[in-house]
Amino acid sequence: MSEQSLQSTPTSDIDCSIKWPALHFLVWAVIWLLVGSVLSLISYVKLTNPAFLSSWEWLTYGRVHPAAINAMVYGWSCNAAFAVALWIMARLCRAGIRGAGLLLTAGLFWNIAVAVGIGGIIYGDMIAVEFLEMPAYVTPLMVLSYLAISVWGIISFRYRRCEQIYVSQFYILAAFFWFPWLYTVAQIMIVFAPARGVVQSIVSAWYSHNLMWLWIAPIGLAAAYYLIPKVLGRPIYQYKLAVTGFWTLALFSSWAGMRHLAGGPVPAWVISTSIVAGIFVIIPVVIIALNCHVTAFDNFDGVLRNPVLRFVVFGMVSFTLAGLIGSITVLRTVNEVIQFTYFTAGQSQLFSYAFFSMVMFGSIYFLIPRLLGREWPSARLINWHFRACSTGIVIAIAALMMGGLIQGWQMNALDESGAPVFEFLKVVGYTGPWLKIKLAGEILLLAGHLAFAVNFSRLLAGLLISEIADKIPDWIGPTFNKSREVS
Amino acid sequence: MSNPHDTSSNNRDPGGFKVMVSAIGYIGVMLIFILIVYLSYVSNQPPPIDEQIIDERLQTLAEVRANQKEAAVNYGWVDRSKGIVRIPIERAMELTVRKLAAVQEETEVSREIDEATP
Repeated sequence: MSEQSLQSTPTSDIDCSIKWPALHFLVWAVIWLLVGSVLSLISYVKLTNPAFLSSWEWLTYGRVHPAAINAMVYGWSCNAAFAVALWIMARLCRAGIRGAGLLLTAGLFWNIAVAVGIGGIIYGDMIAVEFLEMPAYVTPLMVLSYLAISVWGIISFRYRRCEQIYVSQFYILAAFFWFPWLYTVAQIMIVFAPARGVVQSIVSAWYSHNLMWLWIAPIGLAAAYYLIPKVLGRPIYQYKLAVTGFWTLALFSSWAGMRHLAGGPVPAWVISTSIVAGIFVIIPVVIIALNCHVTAFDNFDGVLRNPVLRFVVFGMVSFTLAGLIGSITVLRTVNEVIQFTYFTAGQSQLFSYAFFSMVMFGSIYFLIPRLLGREWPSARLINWHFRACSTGIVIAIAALMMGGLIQGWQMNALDESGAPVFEFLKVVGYTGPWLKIKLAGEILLLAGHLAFAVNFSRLLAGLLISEIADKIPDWIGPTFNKSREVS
Repeated sequence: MSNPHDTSSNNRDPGGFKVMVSAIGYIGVMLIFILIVYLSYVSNQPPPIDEQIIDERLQTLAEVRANQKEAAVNYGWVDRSKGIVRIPIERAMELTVRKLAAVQEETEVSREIDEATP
């Protein structure tokens, strides 16, 4: 045993220090996952059948769709990210998370803010800016609770008890600083003191892009860099490349957001800079892909047999695809076709769900048994979860991307006189079958999430029963305790 | 687990007070950053070019909404010469429901008569 491990906190103590806060975040994450899935399903049913639930103004597409996205991003993704990132940070720093009580309180306030925000969207208090739809009155609570959550990850790093720094820590630490920077600047420049005209569009594009690349992606990558070598028991293929990948991601991806404004009334240099940066993003994507895929595919049997790795490797393949497709679609000629089509929605789902959510599912499957000292109740439900979600997301993304490409081609098709070949409403009608396929994907995703939620609920129920049973004295419940011992 | 990047001796066991000071320090620094961004941005922000137009439009919108609300909840004449009046929406709904109920009752009675008649 090395000197370092002698001085560090035992793993069980580290897990114990974050057990309740992480569980709290995960319970909320599962709740928001279900809420987001149901709202998303309703929004896609409404796209294919506008008469569905049309008599309730609070369930109109314009409200349900942003509510679903916010539930998935700030509810599911952020809660899962907090749990996984803080746990990985504590493990790698070999120091327990301090201030569990404060962390629990901050987590509660974060989720109250998200609930009020989504309620506000449904009620009609929405701000018409992508990913900033929640009303302004929840912003201060979200910022303060975020700071009170992230601080414990930073404190863990500050007082770490090991000599090494791992690349996962790079990503988590950076993400904890990047998110408040992005969120507050966007809120100030768009909501609280709106900038003039087109600057708002620039800030909005910058925020929505970087929310994915500088908050969601680093946490997902940190989890993948931690889990793949950990589960396979072998080091990362090229460690120095991993660090280069981090710095190039930080450098290039933050510039690439404004490409979505190509063709708009924005200074040309802004878009050109974004296009150049968007092409350079291929560098970190290739580095990360090389590191994760070579490490994982070296032992492909192990990946197939392990449920955690199946989710994580599926997520990392999606990340590589999302990065490569992103670097191709950044080009003006391609962007002209796919802009304002369902293709961009497919790209967004590829990144936020197929990459991030799948990595988070894998991380949660790995984290929970170590945190609670209990195995998942049903391996079959884990398999169903993976099959339903992987099939569902592939169907959903393929439908959006194929439908979007055809939609873009039809909208841009001109005859010899320069007049549009297809009327706009006909193009809208042609997307119908693709949206129905996407709806089938959404149903599969909801089924997968239900399998996950049932498994998680059974685990929690078992935990609660054992916690309660531990507190029952023998003279009150001897039969109950005896039956537990026997079982 | 990914490979180690760097080595530095950092084995410390801070007390609770030190940790709390660090936590408050981090949150304070972030809040000061937000304040600096806000103040430096707002103090340099030019007034909107179309401030006057915005005010005029908001005033017109308020007038339109007030008139619409007034028309929706009060009685009034639409065309006195033709005897057309405007009634509150609530009252209109009551009358419509009563009218539809009467029609439905009439339909049911006529159906019962049809069924009873050989």
